[in-house]
Amino acid sequence: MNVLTISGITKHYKRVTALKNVSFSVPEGAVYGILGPNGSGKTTLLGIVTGVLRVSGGTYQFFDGARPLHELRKEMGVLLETPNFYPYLSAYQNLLIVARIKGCDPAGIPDVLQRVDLLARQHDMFRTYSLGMKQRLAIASALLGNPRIVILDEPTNGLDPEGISEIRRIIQQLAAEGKTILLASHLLDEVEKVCTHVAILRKGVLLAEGEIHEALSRGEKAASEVTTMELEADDPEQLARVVKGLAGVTEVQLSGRVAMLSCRAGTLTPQEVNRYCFDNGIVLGRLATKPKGLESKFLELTK
Amino acid sequence: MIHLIHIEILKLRRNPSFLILLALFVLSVVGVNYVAAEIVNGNKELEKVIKFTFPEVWKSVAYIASYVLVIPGLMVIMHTCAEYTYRTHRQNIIDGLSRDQYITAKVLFVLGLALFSSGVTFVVAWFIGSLSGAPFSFEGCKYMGYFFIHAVMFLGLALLFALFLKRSAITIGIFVTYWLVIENVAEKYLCKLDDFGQLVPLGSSEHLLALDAYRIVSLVHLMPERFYLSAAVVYIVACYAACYCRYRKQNL
Repeated sequence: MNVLTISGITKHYKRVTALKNVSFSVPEGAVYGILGPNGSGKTTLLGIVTGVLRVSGGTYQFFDGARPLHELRKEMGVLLETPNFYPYLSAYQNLLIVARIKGCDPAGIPDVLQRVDLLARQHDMFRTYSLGMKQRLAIASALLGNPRIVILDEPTNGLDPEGISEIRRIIQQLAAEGKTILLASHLLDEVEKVCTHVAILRKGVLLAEGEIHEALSRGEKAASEVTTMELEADDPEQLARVVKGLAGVTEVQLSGRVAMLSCRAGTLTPQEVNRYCFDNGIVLGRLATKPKGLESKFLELTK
Repeated sequence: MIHLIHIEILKLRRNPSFLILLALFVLSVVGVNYVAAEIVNGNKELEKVIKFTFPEVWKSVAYIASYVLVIPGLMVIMHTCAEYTYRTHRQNIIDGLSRDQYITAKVLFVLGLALFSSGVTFVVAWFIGSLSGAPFSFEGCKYMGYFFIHAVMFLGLALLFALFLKRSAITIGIFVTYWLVIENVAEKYLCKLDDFGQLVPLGSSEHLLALDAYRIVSLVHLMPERFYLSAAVVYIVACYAACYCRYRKQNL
């Protein structure tokens, strides 16, 4: 069953077209990443499905579309762009307003504050919070009321590495609980680590969508995909010289003691490389095939 | 409805600007009317223009308090524009309020403020009238009802301006200019064409409260009260309908 179905969504801002005929579906339980460079339309798309932006064309629906959208939004946890709270109220008082709007029990407020490590500061005014604390409070707000669907737009903005890792852990925990998550980000590492599905946008156009590896292997330039291997031996310079002569190798780069070998996908296997090195008098200390990163695939698709 | 009022109370009960302005409004209504009564009571010449004894005190206090309504007007503008500044209005929608519920909450806030202002004005009129030593009378108490109608119009217009302009400073500037200058100029110009020119949006309900002396000085040809009342009701309905339309169509 699809949690969200988007059909031909178009959004114009005066002369600018922010989204052009975007369609995809989000299956229940998926961690769905929406990827794209700045200005690609990620936030506009999330703004439309959360009801804050009017759509210029197309339709969208949650589940079978039978329930009013504002009622469904009470069962969602949403962090859209920036944390939006009343600065003269404390974290607790702000979440009390959210709880009243959602119609959920305010007794759950301490739990969500504990989850983002803000319980000790719950009675401090929002305006006294650091950027990272504001972001964590927004995530706490999104988790309030045990939502079925969680929509997060750049959730790690302003967080330190520990905070980023914590958010990633929360997302994985939510996914394990069977919640459906929509995650917009331009941090590819973040998406690669947590998402099961992905939609890639560029200038408002949907380039690819579906299960993460399938979606990324599609696209015009997928045929030119490159495989990278990392090799180590006692004499890295000799190793680099030797493997340059191997048929199919397109590039060899020496990075410290590691030789990075690039070849066209499917032309060389690790066994062939190992045998070639051994036949040429080099015993490898390490050989690892490095799958192509999401970053380079993303850059290829959005170039 | 109660749910929406509760949400607005949660937003406002710890808002220092709101609480300070509320206190200033009460002090101003009490202070201005008390000082005016002190000056007028016993002065035969001034008592020909305005009286602070029963039954005229209801009309006099309502008329003077109508100028102090600018303070609740500021409260409406600041509260509404702050939601745009903090972007909490869109967060409220994201969290599950419908657009109609959001604007209904604001309308209820405005109506509540109009009711509170009318209540304060009623108590002050009673108090000032009692100070004069004249026997208590409810005669002329209808002006408290007219004050409420004027407050609903005045504060509703402040809400509409805030929904369109979104920034506190510019909204306050334009609203006050409209109230004190633009509408008066328009009324004067339109009255040259026809007496119905008096029936401008704020002017209609203001004329329900205006003292006879003011009307004579401003050379307004008096119309029957029902004209002002009907026009005020039409403007109120139009103003609040415009608030709903504006918010329904807005990108947040």
